[in-house]
Amino acid sequence: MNKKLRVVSERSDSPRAQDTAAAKPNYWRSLAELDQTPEFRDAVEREFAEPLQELPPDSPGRRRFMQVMGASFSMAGLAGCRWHEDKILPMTRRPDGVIPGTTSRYATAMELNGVALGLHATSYDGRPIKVDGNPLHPESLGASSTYHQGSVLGVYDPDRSDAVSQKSGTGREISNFEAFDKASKDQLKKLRANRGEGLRVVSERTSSPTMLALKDRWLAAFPLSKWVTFESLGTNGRAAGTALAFGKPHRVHYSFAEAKVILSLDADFVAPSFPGGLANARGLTKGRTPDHEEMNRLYVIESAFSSTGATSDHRLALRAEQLKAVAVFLDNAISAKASALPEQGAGQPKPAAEFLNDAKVQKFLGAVAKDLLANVGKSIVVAGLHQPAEVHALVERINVLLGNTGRTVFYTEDSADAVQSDTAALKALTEEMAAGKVETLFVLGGNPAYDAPSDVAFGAALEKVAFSVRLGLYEDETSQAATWHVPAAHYLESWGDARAYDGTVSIVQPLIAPIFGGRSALELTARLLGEEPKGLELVRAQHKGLLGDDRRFRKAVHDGIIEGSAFDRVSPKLTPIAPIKLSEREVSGAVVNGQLEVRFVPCPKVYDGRYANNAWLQELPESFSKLSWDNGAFFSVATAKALGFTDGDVLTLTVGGKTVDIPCIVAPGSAEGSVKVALGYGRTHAGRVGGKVGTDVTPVGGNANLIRTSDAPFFTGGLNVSSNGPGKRLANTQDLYAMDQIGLDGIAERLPELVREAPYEKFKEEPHFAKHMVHQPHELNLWVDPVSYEGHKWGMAIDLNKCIGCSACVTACQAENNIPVVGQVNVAMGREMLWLRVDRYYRGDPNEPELRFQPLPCQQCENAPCEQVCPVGATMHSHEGLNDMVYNRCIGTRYCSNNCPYKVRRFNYFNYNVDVIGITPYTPTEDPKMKLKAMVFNPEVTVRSRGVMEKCTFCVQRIQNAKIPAKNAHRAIEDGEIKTACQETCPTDAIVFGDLNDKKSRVASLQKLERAYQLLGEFNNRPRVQYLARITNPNPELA
Amino acid sequence: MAAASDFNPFQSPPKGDNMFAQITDNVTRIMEAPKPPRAWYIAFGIALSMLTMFLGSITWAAWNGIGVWGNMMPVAWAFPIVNFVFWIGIGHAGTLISAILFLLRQNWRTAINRFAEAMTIFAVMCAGIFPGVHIGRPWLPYYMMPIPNQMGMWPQYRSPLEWDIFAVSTYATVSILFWYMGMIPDFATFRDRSTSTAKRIAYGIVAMGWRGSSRQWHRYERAYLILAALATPLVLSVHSVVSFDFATAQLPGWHATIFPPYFVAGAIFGGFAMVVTLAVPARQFFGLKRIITIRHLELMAKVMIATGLMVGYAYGMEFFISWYGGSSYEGFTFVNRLFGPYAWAYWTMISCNVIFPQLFWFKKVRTNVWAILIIGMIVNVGMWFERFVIICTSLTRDFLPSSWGYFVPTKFDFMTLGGSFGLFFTLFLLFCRYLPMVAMSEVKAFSPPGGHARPHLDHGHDDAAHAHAQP
Amino acid sequence: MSDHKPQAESTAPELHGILAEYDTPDQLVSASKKVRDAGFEKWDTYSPFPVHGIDAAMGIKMTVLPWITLCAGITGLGSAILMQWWMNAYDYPWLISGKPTWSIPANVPIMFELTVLFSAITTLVGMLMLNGLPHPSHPLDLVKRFGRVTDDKFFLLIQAADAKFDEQDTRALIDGTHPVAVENVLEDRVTPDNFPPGLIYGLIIVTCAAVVPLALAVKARHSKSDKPRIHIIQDMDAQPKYKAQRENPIFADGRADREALPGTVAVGHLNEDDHFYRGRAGGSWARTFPAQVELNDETMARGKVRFGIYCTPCHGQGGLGDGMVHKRADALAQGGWIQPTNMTQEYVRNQPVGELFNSITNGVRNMPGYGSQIPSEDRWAIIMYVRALQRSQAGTLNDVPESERGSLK
Repeated sequence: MNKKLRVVSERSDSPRAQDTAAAKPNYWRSLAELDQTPEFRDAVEREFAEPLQELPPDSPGRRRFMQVMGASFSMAGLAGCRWHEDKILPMTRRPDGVIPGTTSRYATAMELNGVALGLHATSYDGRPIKVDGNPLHPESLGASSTYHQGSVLGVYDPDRSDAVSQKSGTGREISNFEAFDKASKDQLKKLRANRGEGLRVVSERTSSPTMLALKDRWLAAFPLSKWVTFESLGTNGRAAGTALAFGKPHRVHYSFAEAKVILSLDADFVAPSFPGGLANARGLTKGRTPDHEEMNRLYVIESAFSSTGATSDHRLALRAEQLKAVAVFLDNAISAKASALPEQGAGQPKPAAEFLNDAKVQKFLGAVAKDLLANVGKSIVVAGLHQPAEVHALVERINVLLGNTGRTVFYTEDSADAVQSDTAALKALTEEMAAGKVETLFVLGGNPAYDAPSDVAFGAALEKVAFSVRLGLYEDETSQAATWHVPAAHYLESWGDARAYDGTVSIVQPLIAPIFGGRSALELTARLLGEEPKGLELVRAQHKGLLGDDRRFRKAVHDGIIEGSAFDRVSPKLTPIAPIKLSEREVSGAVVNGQLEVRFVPCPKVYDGRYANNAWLQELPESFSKLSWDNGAFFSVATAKALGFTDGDVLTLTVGGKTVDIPCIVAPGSAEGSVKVALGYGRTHAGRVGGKVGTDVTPVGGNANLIRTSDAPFFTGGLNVSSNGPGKRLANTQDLYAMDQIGLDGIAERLPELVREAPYEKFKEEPHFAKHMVHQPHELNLWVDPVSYEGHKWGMAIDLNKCIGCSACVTACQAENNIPVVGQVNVAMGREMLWLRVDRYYRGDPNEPELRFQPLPCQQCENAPCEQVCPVGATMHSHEGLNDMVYNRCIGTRYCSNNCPYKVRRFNYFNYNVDVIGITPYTPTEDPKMKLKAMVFNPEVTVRSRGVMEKCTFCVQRIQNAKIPAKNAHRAIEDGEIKTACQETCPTDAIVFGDLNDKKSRVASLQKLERAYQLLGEFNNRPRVQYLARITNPNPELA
Repeated sequence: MAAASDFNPFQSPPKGDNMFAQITDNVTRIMEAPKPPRAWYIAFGIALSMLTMFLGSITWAAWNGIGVWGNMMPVAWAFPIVNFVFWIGIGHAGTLISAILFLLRQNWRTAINRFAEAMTIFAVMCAGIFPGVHIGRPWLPYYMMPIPNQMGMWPQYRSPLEWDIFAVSTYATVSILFWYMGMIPDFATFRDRSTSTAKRIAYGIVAMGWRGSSRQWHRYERAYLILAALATPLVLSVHSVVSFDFATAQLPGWHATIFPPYFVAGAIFGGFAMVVTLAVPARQFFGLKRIITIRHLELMAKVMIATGLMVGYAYGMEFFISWYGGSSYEGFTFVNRLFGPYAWAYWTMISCNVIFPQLFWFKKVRTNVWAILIIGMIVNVGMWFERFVIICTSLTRDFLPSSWGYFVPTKFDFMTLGGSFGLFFTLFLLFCRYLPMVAMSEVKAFSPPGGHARPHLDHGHDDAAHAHAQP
Repeated sequence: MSDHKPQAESTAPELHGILAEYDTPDQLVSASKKVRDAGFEKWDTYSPFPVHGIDAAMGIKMTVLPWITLCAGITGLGSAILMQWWMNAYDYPWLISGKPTWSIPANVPIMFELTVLFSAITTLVGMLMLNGLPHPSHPLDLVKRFGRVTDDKFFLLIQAADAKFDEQDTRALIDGTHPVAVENVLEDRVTPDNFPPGLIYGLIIVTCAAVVPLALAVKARHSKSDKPRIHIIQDMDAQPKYKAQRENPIFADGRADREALPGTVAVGHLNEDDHFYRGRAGGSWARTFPAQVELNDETMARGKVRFGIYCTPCHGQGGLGDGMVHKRADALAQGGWIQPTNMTQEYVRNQPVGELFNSITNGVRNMPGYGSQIPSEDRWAIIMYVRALQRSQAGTLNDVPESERGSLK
C-alpha cells in the first residue's frame, strides 16, 4: 500500500510526469496488461477500451491519477471464499456540480413507431438506471409506459452486438469499424459515380427532423436510389381516412378531459402504442373523478378486451371487421339528426348487416347515437388505428357533425415529411432484391427479415444483395443475411431528435458513451454521406434555424422539448364521402372455424418484437391473461367452448396455408369468432432471453407474422384453428391452474368486497357505500397502541376508477427496486418476484364480462400480521409506519408470507442474480459479459440474494433521499416531493403516496374521501393503503 | 409364528434357571449374539441407502436453493413442514407410554416403553432436522437461538416458530435424559454380561458404575417419578406449541382454537400406530414374544381407536365451527377441503384415520399381529396426510383469489420425505442391535417373583411359560 | 467397572466387608431387617431391580431430590421471564404488529419450556451426584459372584469400616439370615492403576481434537493478515451493483463512474446566468456582485466560515498565503512547491470579482478548482470576505471610525 501511495504522490507532484502521461493516452492499457486479474483480462480481450476514445478529454493529471490508483487497487484481485474486496476509485477534481453517489436527471426522448415521448432519464454516477416521463412533455406529462421503463435494461443487455461483423461463407466473422468504413467508402464512391444506381435504403419509421433532412440530402446525392420506410406496426388507415374525409391526411388529437361522452370503435386509445396514448389516458381518467365533478361516459365497441374496454361503462364485443358497418350505421343515424351542411355531403345509407338486427346491438348503438347527439361538442368518437380508411373517414365526419372539432377533437396536417410505413414499397423492394436488381442496401434499424408480413420474404432476398449493411442493436434475423452488420447505439447512448405526435420536437440526449462503441443511424448516415459524423453537431446544426444561438439549444436540451415546435392546429373542411361498400364478411354475423377472424395486435410487452430480449418485459404479466413469457391466441368463452379448446392447448393457426403454433387462452370478453394474437414473439435471433436457435434458448412464443399478409396486416378472416392437445403449463401469474367451479363461485362471492364499486347515481345517494359494504366489527385492541405515529405517517391511495391496468407501474417497480427475473419455469411454478401486482378480475356473465383491475402493493399494515410470526425479527415496523424488511437478518422461514392476507411477499427460492453476481463460490458466471446487467441495478437498493423474503417498501430509498436534504435545509418535506416509482410512472395518476399526518397532502385528502376503503380492513390489520371505490357511469337506457 | 421362528436365531432355551434370568437372557442375547439375523442386515441396508438419499437431497437443496422443492407462493410451506409436524407427532407416543402410563401405574407399559422412548427420540431427531433445512438460508438457523451476535439483535419471542425452537429442543433433551436414565441399570446388566473387553468398557462407561445398591435405587426411583411428572405436561405442550404455528396465524383453516388438543390427540394416535408398526417386527425377529405379548398389542390397538375417534371428532368440529363461526373465508376453505383441488388428499386422510381404525372394534382384528401392523401403517399414512391437508390445502386458497395457487411436489420433496424414514430406521435398527430393547429391571420388578403388583402380568407370565416350553 | 485380571499381590489386602448372596427379594428384605435392627450404619443391599419394601427394611430416609428439582424449576421460570423481557423489551425493543414490547401471553410457552428443561436436567444430574455416580471401581467388582447382581441375584454387604463391625459376630449375624453364600470382600488394590489404557488414549485424542478449533480461533484473533477475512457464503455482503466511485472492469479505465458527455445538461443544471455561475458580464469578468447575492452581514459571515474551511489551509487566516500547508511544505523543503498567492497584493486587489470567482471555480496554477465543492452562492460569499480582507490590509486611517482612531495612535 505504502509503495503504491508513493508512486501516486511522486507522479502527481512532478509536472513532467503529467506531460508524459498526457502524451501517452494508452498508458493505462500498458498498466492494465501488467494486471493479471481476470476482470482486466476480460476488459482487454473484449476491446471495451474502445469507448474510452469517445470519452471527453479531461485533465490529464486526474486521468493518470485514477489510472495508477485503479491499477494498484485491482492488483489485489478477487479472493474466492474471502470477504469480497471493494475497490474505491475516488473521483477527485470532478466537474462542477457532480457529486458522486447522487443521481441526476437528463431530459431525453424515446421514439417508437415514429412517435416520440419525452423522458427524464435518471443517471447515477453517469450510468442511466431509470427512465421516467418528462413532465414538460405534452404527451407524457410525467408518465411513461412499460416500453420506456423497460428500455433502460436494453442499454446493458449483454446480447447487444458489440462489434462490426461481416458475412464470411455461411457464418459471420468479427470485423471492425475501420474495415467497414473503408469498404463502405469505396462502395459509395462507386455509387456517386452512377448516381445511386441499385442503391436502396430501408429505415424504420422516424420523425427525427435531422434524420429526415439527412434523407433528403441522401436522395439528392443519389437521385436514382430509393429510400423505403417500413414499420411492422405502422398503420396508415387514419392518414388515408382523413384524406378521404378532408382531402388531405391529418393527425387527430383529443382532449378527453373535456369530453362527456366517448365512443371507441376498437380503439385502445389509452395504450402506449396509440399515439398520444398516455396523455389520452390522463385526460380520460381526469374526467372520471366522481367526487367533485360529473363523470364522462365511455362506450367501447371492440373485438377483445383492451385497457379502454376495461375502463368503459358500456362495452360491446364485435369482430374488428364488423366495425365498418357500425361506423356506417352511426353515420347514418347521426347525419339524420345533426344538420349536415350540403357541402359536407349526405350520410351513409342504412347498412344491411344482419348482426345489426340483433336486439342487443341495436339497443346499444341506438343509445350511443342518442347520447352522442345529446352531447354535441362534448363528445369524442375514436377509431382504432388498424381500422380501414373508411371507418376513420366516417368517424371524423361524425366528430365534425357533432361539432367536436376545436372543442374536444383537434386536427393537424400530417406534414408530408412525417413518413408513413410503406409495406407495398417494401414488398416491391423485396422483389427487386430477389431479382438481383439491388446491389447495395442499407438497413437502418428495424428488423424486416423477422417482422415483415409472410408474403414479403425479405430475409431470403437480402442474401442476394451484393453489398448490404445492417445497422442494429442486435445481430438479429436481418443481420444474419447482411454482408455487414454494424452495432447501433442505444437511444440513451446517442444524440438525436424526434417529434411527438403533436409535432413537439424533443432533443434526444445521451446519458453514457456507447458501451459497445455503436453508432446511431444519424451518425452512420452522415458518415456515409461524408458529413460531420458527430451526433451532437448534426442535431445542433439541424436546429440552428429554430433555436439560433447555443444558449437556446442548451435550454432545449435541458427542458427536453423545443417550445412552440408543435404542428399548428387546423380545422379542415369536411368533404362528402361516397357510400361505402360493405363486403360479405363485414356484414355477416357468426362465423365458423375456417372463417374465424384473426387480429394481430402490438404486444403490450415486447411491442413488435424489438424488446424480445428484455427480460423485464418478457416476464411482465400481460394485462388481461396475466400471461408472462409467451403469447397466446385469445378466444371468447363461447368460441373456445364451441371449438372444444381450453387454456394451454397448443393450437395450430392456419391462414391461407401458412401456419403457426400458439397456445390457447380463453379470454372472456373477446368477440365471438375473433381471435387476438400478439405480434413480436417467436424471435429466432433475439438473444439469451427472447430465444436463439442453435442454442438451448428456445424462442419465446409463436411468431404471428408467419400468418400475416401485407394486404391485411392487422386483421383478416379465413382463420382455421386446430388443437394439438395440452402443451406445457403456461406461466400465468394469476389463475395459475384452471379454476374449478368452487373457486369461481368463491371469487364471485367475495369480489364485490375486494373491488368495491357502484354506479354513479347510487354513489351520489349513498357516498359511504364502500365503507359499509363489509360489516366491520368494532375493532377492540387488547392493549394500548405502543406507538402513535407522530412525525411522518406514510400512506397510499389507489383510485380503482383510474387504473387502466397498463402495468407500467409493475415494470417501474422492477427497475427501481432491483427485482430479479425468475424465468418462465419459475413463474409457472408460482414464484414470480414482482413486488407490485395488478390483479385482474372478471365480473358477471363470462360471455359479456366486465373487467376490474386492482394494483396490489404491500399494504404496509400498522398491525402487520407478517411481523409477529417472524422468529428473527427480520420484518418489523418503523416509527413512520413502514413495514420494513431486514434482508440480512432474514433466514427465510417464509412464515410471514403464510400469514400475509394479501400474499404480497416474495421469496428468493434461488439466487436469481447468480449470472450477474459471479462471485458466489458455488456458481461462477460463465460469461463475464453478464456482469453488464449489474450496471442497471439501483445502487440505493439491496440486490437480494437467495433465501430471503422481500416485498414492496414504499420505495423507502426515495423517502430517505427526500428526508435527508430536507433535514439539512431545516425544512419540512413538501407533499409530492416523494413519489414512489409506481406513482411516478402512472399515466392516469391512480396511485398517490404521501404523509398522512400532513393534513394538506393529497393522499390524506384522498383517504378522507367517502369512497375510500381498506382492503380486508375487517381483520384490523390497519392497512396504510386505501382504495378508492370504482364508480361507473352507466347509461340509464342500457342499465 | 413359523415364519418368525425361521428368522429367529435365538433358538437355544434360556439358560437362566429363574424368571429373572430368563428375562435377562431374552434381552441380552440380542446384544450377545455374534451376528444379528439376516433380516436385520437387509433392513439396515435399505435404511442406510434411504438415509444416504436423505442427506443427498438435503445437500442438494442447501446447495442450489430450496427452490428444488415444489414450494411456491402462496404455498410457502409444504413437505418439509408437513414432515416436521408428522415426525414430532410420532414422537409423542413414546413419552406418553413411558411417562403418562407410568404415572397411571399401567404396568403393561414396561414391555414396550423402552423402544417407544427410543422411537420418540429418533422421531424427534428426524423432526428437528426439517426446521433447520427448510429455511431459505440453511446456514443461518442459529439466528433463531438467543446468541449474542454482531447485529446486537435477539430472537423475536412473539413468533410461534421461536416457541417451537424451545419446545422441540426441550422435548428432545428431556426425552433423551429420561431414556438414558431408564437404561442405566440395563447397561449395567449388559456390562456384566458382556464377554469382550470393548463391550465391557463401552457399556461400563454408560452404566457409570451402577451396582444396584438399594440406596441408589431409592433416589433412582424418585428421580424417575419426577422426570415422568415433568415429561407428562411437556409432551402435551410440545404438540400444542407446534399447533400454535397454525392456530395463531390469520389464515383460514389454520386460525382455530381447537388445534392444540386436536394435534395432541392426533400425535398420540399416530405415535401408537408407529409403535405397533415397529413392535410387531421387532418381537418377531428378536424373539421378544415372551415380553411383548399379544396383550400389549391389543391394548395399544385400544388406545389407537380411542385417539382415532378423538381425531375424527376434531375433523367434524372444524367443519361445524367453520359454519357456526360465519366467516365466509373460513367456510370457503372447508368447502375446498371436501371438494376443492385437494379433495383427494382430504379423503385419503379421512379413510386412513377415521374409517380403517374402526376395524379395531373386533377382537379378532385387535389380536391379529398382521392386522394390527397393516392398520398401524395405514394410520401413519393418514396422519401424514392430515398435516398435508392442514398446511397445503389451507395455503392454496386464502383471501385474495388473485394469489391462489396449487402446489405440486418435485422429486426432491419425495426424496426428502422418504429419506427421513431412512434416518429413523437406521437409528432404530442400531438401537435394536446394541441397546437394551426392553427395560429389564422394570420387567423383572413387575414379573411374578419380582414382588411389585403381582396380579398384573399373569397373562404375560403364561405366554412366557409357553415360549419357555418350546425346545 | 474395571476389567480385573488375576494378579500377584505383594501384601494381602485388608478386609473391605462381608457379602451375602440371596436368591429372592423376600430373603433380602428379611435379612435387611435383621441387619438394620443390629444397628449397622455402613452397609447396603444390592439387587437387579428396586426391591419392594426394601427402603423400610433398610430404614432409608426420603431423598431431598424433589426439593432440588423444585429450585431448578423456579430458576428456569425466572430466567425465561428475565431473558425474554431483557431481549425483547429492554435491550432491543422493537415494534411488532402494533403490539406492546412486553406482553406475558406471548412469553408463556417459553417460560414453561425452560422450567421443565431446568428441572429435568437437574433431576438427572442431582440423582447421579447424590448416588455418587459415576463410580468407576468398587471392591465388589473383584467378587466373581457379584456379577449376577444385575441379573438375578440379591446381595447384602456390611462394610468393615462400620463401627459395630466385628468379623466373627457379623459373620454370625449374616449366617443367621440364611444366605445362599457368604464371602469376604477384600479392598481393591488392582483397579485404580490399570485404568484401561485404550480408554485413556481415546480420551486424550478426543480432548486434543476438541481443543483444535479453539486453538485456531485464538490464533486467528492474535495474528494479523492483509487478506480479507474468510467469508464462505457471501449472501448480500457482496452485491453486484456499482456504488459510488467503485471499480467496474468493463470499462478500460476501470471506473464505474462515467462522465457526463459534452453538451449534455442535467435537469436543474442549466446555469444560464453567466454572471452568477461564471462570473462574466458583458463579455468580460464581472466587476460587480450578481443580483442573487445579497451584500449583507449574513453573507459576509457565511463567506468567513467557507473561507476558513476551504481557503485558510493554503492562503492562511489573513489570506497572506501563509497557511499550514505552505508552512509544512516549506519545512520539508522538497522543492517544487510554489507559495500560495498573497491575496492582499495589489494585483489581486485589482482583479474584478468575476476573475476571482473564476479562480475559485477552475483554479489557477497549482490551485485546483473548487467549483465542484463550493456552491456558487458560497463562492460569491467567499469573494465578499476576501474583499474585506484585502481592504483590511490596504486600509487607510480614514477607514477607521472617528471614535476608534485615538486607540491607534
